[in-house]
Amino acid sequence: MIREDGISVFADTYTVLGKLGEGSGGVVYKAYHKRLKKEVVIKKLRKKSVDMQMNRQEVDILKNLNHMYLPQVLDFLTEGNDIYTVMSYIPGRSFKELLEEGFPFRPNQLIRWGMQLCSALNYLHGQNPPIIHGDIKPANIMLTPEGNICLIDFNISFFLDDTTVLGYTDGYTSPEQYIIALDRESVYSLPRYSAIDEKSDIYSVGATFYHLVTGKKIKNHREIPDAGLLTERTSEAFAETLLRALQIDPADRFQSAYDMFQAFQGIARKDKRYQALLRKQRAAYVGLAVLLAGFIILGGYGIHMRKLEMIDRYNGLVEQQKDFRKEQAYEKEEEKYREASALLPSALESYYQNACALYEQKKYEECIGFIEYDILENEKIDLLDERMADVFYLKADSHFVQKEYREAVEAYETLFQYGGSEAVYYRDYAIALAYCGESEQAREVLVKAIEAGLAEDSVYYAKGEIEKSMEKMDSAAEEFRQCIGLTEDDALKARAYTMLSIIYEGKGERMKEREILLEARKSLPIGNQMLILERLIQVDVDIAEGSEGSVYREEAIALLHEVVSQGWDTYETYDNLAVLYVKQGNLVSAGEILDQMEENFGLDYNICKRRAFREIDLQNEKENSRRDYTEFAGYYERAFRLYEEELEGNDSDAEMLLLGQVYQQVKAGGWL
Amino acid sequence: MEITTGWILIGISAAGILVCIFGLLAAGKIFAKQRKRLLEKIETE
Repeated sequence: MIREDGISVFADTYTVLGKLGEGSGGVVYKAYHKRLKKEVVIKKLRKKSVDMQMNRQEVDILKNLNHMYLPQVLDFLTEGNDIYTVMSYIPGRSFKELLEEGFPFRPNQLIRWGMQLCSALNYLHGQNPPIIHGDIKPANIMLTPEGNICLIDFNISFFLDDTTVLGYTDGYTSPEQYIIALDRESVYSLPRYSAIDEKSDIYSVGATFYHLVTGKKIKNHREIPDAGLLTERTSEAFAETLLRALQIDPADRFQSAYDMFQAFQGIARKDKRYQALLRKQRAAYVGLAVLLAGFIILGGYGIHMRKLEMIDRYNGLVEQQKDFRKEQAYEKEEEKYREASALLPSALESYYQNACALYEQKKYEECIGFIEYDILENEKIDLLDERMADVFYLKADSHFVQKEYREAVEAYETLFQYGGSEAVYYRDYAIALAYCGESEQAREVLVKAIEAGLAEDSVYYAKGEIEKSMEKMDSAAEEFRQCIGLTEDDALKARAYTMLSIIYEGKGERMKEREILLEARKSLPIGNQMLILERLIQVDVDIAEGSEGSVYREEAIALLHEVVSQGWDTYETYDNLAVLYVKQGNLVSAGEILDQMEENFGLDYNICKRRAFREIDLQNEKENSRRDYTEFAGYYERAFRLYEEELEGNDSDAEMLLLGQVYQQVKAGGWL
Repeated sequence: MEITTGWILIGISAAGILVCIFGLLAAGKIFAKQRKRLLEKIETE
């Protein structure tokens, strides 16, 4: 029992220390909790109605409330018909007291306290069922010594019993609460205001802060809040926040305490200085982003430039390949090929030029191998390149030269699949078909070639090849003659002359063959005479086996030297020279040629064999007493050793057999 | 390797891209601190 003098001990737990004030239900006391050893506030709730019952669950909800900006509900007590709440005592001064003292509420403080208040309200409204404070006003907001707020005196009796009569406080109560508090029946004439909910508390917060900022209470709901004064004292954003909370229609206010919390939080962000800083920072971001984009574009342009530079350099290397091919500097050509193909592995041109170089060096097997492995099986190369038709033409030609006519036909057919449509392709395809024994098909293809615009000289040539393949040598020779008489293409003329010489060789008419070849020598430029020279040398060598061999051998020697001077020399060129010189009895020149062979190509059994034969001739020129076959023996033994190593049991060189016999004879003769 | 116009442009753009990326990252951190300091200043005025 509590007495007015406050000395009573209540429920054996609390010692009443004094009176704090008057609440809506009665006196509010400050007491001391003997067990918890802390100060508490004991407040009487409104007299309960006859029907009011304490809901245990709801009491537990209240006692379990725990928020840093709310006092803790410690207990509920009953005494007779009265119910008392016991809550933790909040030291400090209320906003009402501060207002009365003229405390200067600063906007930044109000923002912080507004956020704290909304946080507490959000907590209460989030309970199940929601707890509506119902009486937010300056008197019910405490400022603690720590500088934070505490929202006290929330309407527990309202929570416990929704039939409780609501109170109101002028200047802070929401219109709907005001109407219900004064006249419940009018609820049905104002359907919008039929319920008290979280938005009522939000209105009260707005009204409370309006008072704190302006120093004036809102007298009634018809009074329009002074937006200009609010803005002047705080800021536009702050004024907007309060004005929204003070909307008459709850639907126009913040719909939750959390929304209002965010609005308070956003006030500082709406400050002009903050907005200016944001603008500057955004401009800096945009500037950096534009710069980044600019550098990316520059990088893309740089990559494009780099590609163009690579293509330029590549084209330069390919031109060098072509120049080295013309100069027959094939080692340098290969260097440039490797450089070019490493630079642009997918480009076909440098590969094609290298294949042409191999073909020109008569390395037909290597040319075919290069095309098949380095080009066709190279995944990096763009096989859709138009040059592929020329590549297959080269392959077909190489097969043809090696008398691989079936493979040549296949290559020509692939060439056409790659879009090759040159008349000469059809011409050579027709010739290959003829050599495969497909004469009829060859004639049909030749018709296509003529339709494709094949020149008359090429038509004669192709007909000559077809006739030759059918063993009609006389008509073939006639066709080749027609071609020679008509054509201005030196390469074609050279081929026609060559075919004519082959025909006469086949007939055994070697002198006629020689005539044709000499005629070709006169009518063709030296650049187109490589094959002509080869055949002429061979004719001279063959004819030289007869009675007037010396003349023809001399001619053959001269022709061989011309081959060397043109840069067409091979191992066989020097070998033939050595043999011819020996046959002419010019052993000194033969020796020089053999020395050059060894220097160019390295020592092999053939060179030793030739030296051995030369040595025999040299010694045979001397008188018996001055002969010395020691060197001969040395050459023979070296030749024999190298012969065993090089041939590894494959093939047999008749000259080595002969040399062996000579060696036995010399030995048997006692010369060794 | 020959220094060509293409490589120079690529080099400049790569350097520029790196600088811009680091600049954006640094700006993100510095600007956040600036905003926080200004908000605190505004709130405590």
